[in-house]
Amino acid sequence: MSEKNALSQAEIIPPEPSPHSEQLADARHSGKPSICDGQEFRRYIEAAGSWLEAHIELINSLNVYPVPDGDTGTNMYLTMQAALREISAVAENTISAVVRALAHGSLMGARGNSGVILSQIWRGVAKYLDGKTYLTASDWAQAMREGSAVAYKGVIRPVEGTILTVAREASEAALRAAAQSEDIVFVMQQALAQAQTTLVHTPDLLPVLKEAGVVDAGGQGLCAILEGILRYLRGEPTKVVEGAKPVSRLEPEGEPEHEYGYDVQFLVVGENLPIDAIRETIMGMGDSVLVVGDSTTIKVHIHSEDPGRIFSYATTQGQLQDVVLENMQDQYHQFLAKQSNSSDPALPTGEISTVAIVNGEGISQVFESLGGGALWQAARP
Amino acid sequence: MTEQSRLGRIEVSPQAIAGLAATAVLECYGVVGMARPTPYSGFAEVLQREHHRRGVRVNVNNERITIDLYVVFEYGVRISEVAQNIMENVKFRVEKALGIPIDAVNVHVQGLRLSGN
Repeated sequence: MSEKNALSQAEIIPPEPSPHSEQLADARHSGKPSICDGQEFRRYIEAAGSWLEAHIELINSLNVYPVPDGDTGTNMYLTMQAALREISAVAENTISAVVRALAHGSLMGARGNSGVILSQIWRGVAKYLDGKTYLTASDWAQAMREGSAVAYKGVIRPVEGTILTVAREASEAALRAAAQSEDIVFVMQQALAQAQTTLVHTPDLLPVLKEAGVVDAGGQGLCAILEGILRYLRGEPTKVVEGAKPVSRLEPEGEPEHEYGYDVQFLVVGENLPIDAIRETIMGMGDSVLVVGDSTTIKVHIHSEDPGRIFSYATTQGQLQDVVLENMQDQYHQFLAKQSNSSDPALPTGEISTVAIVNGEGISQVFESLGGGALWQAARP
Repeated sequence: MTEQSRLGRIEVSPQAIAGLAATAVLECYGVVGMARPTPYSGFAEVLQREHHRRGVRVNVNNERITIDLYVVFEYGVRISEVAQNIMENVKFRVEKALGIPIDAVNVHVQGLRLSGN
């Protein structure tokens, strides 16, 4: 648990615009062939890291293969963190230097199977981009292809329906896109679209995923990385506002009319906890069940219509800590409402935000015209 | 491994356990082969696909199982992490199949393979 706490407190420096990146941004918006130097690429990776961070819990909850221990998201994130630390020490502003740090940092900090695979993908990317100063759309597509090829070489029997499949098909889509356009945003977009399509098909390729009713966790992680980069390229926020629960658009299309119930999370603390027996009992109480831990601490995550029953049972097993109970039906409606109201401006997520308390409609409009991202109307006493 | 049931005895041979373990090892990312256990270091004899289980030694002592794995990794992976992943995967798969706890899984890296371009 201490690791989790440390994670949530970990700071990610949001991309700061520099005069140089504004030029690049202009190139992006005008649809000119886009170029990217080492520091710009560092921001891609930072965005990938923060977007991955926002999805750690989701990815962890999908982890059933090869060992169902619910740590894929954490492992991938820690691997990316190690890479980012290495990158932050790079002074040179070439693609080559930054991707070399990316590959080296992720290799040294690789955690878990998915982290090792991710480090090999970056190793391939770095191999292709070695010696380059700038990154073009076609370089990126080729580099992704090489990343996937290197990753495939690291195992005797590549298992399809995993992050490997997602990486390969995404890179193929990137290559096709790069043949049509020199726009890196377009290439990224095509790669991500394919990655998401492939992700949804992972249960068809790997039966253990289908049995558990999940998509591949590592594949989901890779999608989050690609999506983070694309969001950065489009100027969308990649950092989740504190307190907001990340809602993934990547989840496979379920039954939309399904009752969502409650999302229940807590820790059971005690001595000699019978984890297998507890898992078995809790499995029967809802879905999306995750019961991990050891004989002294167990983390439980479950979606259920009746959380009371679960708490009653769990209190017979040990002490409860860090209880989180969320109404998913409510979250779903909020999500739908947000989706339908697309004109809603994104909340400001920069490093510094200004809070203004105003006493009337007129002044509120003045602040709005000055670029206030979101305004709340306070009720009059 | 033997187990007594109402109708008779169930016996699982160390070779069967070795086969299970070998399958679990080869699933792990970073492993590109298994090698014959050898007292000499420096000469890894890489096993053909059908002989993979010879790269596994299973020791059963008073119902305690230890598994020794002799493996070849792809050059350029984080060795400690891949070894750790192997231990977890082998322990998980073998325990799941046998229903008996594994005492230890030891990983011996016998060689590294450098894939060409």
